[in-house]
Amino acid sequence: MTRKLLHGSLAALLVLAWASAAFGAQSDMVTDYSQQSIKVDVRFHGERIYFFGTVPDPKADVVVKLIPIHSAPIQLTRKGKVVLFWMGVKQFEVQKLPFLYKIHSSRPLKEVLTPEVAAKYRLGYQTLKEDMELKLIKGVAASDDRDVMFQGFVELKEKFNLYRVAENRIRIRKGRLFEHYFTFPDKAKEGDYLVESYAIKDGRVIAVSRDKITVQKVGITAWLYRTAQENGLLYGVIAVVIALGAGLLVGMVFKGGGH
Amino acid sequence: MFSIFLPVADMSINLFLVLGIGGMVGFLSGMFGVGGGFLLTPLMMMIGIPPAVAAASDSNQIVAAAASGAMAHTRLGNVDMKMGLIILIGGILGGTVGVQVVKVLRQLGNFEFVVKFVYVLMLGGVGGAMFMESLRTLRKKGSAGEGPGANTVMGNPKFSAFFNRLPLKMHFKKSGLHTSAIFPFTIGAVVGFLAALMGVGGGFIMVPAMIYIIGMPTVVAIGTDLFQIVFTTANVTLQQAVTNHTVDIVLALVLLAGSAVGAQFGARVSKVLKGEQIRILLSVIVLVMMVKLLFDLLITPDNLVGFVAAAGGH
Repeated sequence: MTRKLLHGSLAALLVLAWASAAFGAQSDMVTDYSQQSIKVDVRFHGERIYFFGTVPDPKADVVVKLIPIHSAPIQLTRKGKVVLFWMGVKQFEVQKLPFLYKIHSSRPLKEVLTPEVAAKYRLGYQTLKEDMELKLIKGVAASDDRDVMFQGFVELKEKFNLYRVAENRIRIRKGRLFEHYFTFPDKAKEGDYLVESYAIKDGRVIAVSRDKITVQKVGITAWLYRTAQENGLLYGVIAVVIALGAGLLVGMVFKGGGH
Repeated sequence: MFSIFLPVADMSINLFLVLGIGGMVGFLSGMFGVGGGFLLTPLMMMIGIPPAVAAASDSNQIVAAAASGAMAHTRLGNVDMKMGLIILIGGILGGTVGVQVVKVLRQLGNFEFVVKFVYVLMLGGVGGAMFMESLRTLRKKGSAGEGPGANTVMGNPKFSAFFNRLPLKMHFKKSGLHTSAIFPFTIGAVVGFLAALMGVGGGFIMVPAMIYIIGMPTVVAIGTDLFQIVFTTANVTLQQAVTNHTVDIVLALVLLAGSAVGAQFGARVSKVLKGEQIRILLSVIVLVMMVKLLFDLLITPDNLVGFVAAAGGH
C-alpha cells in the first residue's frame, strides 16, 4: 500500500516538475517523503523512509543532508596501553557533533560541491571536524588527539549506521525528479530530524527544501524507556516483581525449575 | 526479521540470538547445577549489549532463575535462616556499594575494562582450581580404584579453628555449627559486590566457601545460597535501576525464557555423565571464556575511541 501511495505521489510530482519547468519557476524545489514519522516499538529494527522531489534544473545535482535537530554533548575516551592492558586513559567532552549525520548525493561530492558551498551548508565530514569542540577533561593532551578522536568517533558511528556519506545514492529521473531513501537505524534516538535537500548547479545552490521527520517511541517500549529513565525506583520494583513472578511461573511449569 | 527492541539498552537485537544464548547457558547450568550468570554477562557483551546493561539485566534474570529453587529449598527446610540473614546483610551492603562503584567506573569510561579484568581473575581462579581438582580426582580413581568419595570433607579443620577464635560467635542450628558471624557476613559482602559489578549470583564462590571453609552441610549450603541470591540480586536490580538506569527487563525475560528451556535438557544430560567429567567440562568452558576476555584486554583494539556513559542517566 505504501508503494502504491509512493507511486501516486511520484506521478503527482512528475506533473509538478513538468509544470514548473514549463512555466519557468526555476528555483522551486518540491520534496516529499513516504512517511513523516517513525514509531519505535517492540519490533523496531530500523526503518527506511523514501524521499523524492523535483529538480529545478535538468543540469543540477542533488545533495541531501539528514541530521537531528538537537544533539546533546557527549563524552569520549581514548584508549592507551597501560603496562600490558588496553584501557581508557583520556577523557574528552565533545560538543557540536550531531548524533546522526547522513549525506546522500547524485554524483561524487567533490564534483558537485565547491569548498565554499560545503563550508556554508556544512556538507561532508571535513566540516564536522571543523565544528567539533573537543575539551580534555582527564589525561594528558597530545597533538594528534583531534585527528584520532574524530576518526575513531566516525568509525563508531558508521558501525551503527548513524553516520554515512553515500555518493551516487540519489537517482535523478529525466533531469526532473530525484529519489532516494534514508535508513533510520535501530539506535536512532527519539526526536525531530531535519532533511535538507539542495539543488546545486555550477557550484551554486539554486534551491533548498527542508522536511522534518519525527522518531518516536510508542507503546510498552516508550513506557519502559521513560519509566527506567525518569522513575528508577518504580521501574526497579516492577523489574523485581516481574522477575519473581516469571521465575515462580517457570518453576511451576517445569516442576522445580532449573536449580 | 525476528528482532526485538530492547527499551533500556535502546537497540534492537536478534530474538533468537538472545534466546539461543539463554538456552545454551541454561543448558550448562542445568547440567552443572550452577547459575551461569558468569557466562551470561560476557556473552551479552560479545553480541553488543552495553556492558553495564548486560550486568544489570543479568542480575534481574538471576532473581527469576533462582526464585523457584529458593522456594523449593525453603519448603524442604534446607535453608539456614539465621546464616542466610547474616549473609544477606553482607550481600545488601556489598551490592549497594557495588552499584555505586559501577556508577563511578562508567563515568570514568573504564567500566568495561574493569569488568573484563575482574572476570579474567575470577574465571581464571575458579576454572583453574576446578580443573586441577577434577583432574586429581580422575587420576586418583584411575590408579587406586577408590570407591565413591563417600567421606566428603566437612570443613577444613584449620579454617574452622580460626573462625572459632573470632568474636561474634553464634550458634547455627540448621547447619549444626557454632562459629563467628564474621565469615558469612564477609563472604556475603564480597558476593554482593561481585553481583553488582558483574551480574553474577556468586553461587560458585558462596557454595564451596560455605562447605569447605566453615563446614556447612552441602544441601544446606545450596539452599541457603539460593535464598540469599534471590534477595541479593533483587537488591542489586533495584539499585541499578535507581542509580544507573541499566536494567533491561525485556532482555532479562528473553534470557529467562531461553535458560528455563535449556536447563531442562541440561538436567537430563547431567544424569548420563559422571561428576568428574561434568566438572572438567565446566572448567574447560570457564577457562576458554577467560582466555577470550584476556585477549580482549591484551590485543590492540580496532578503534582507540569509545563512548563514555553520560553522567546522570542518558
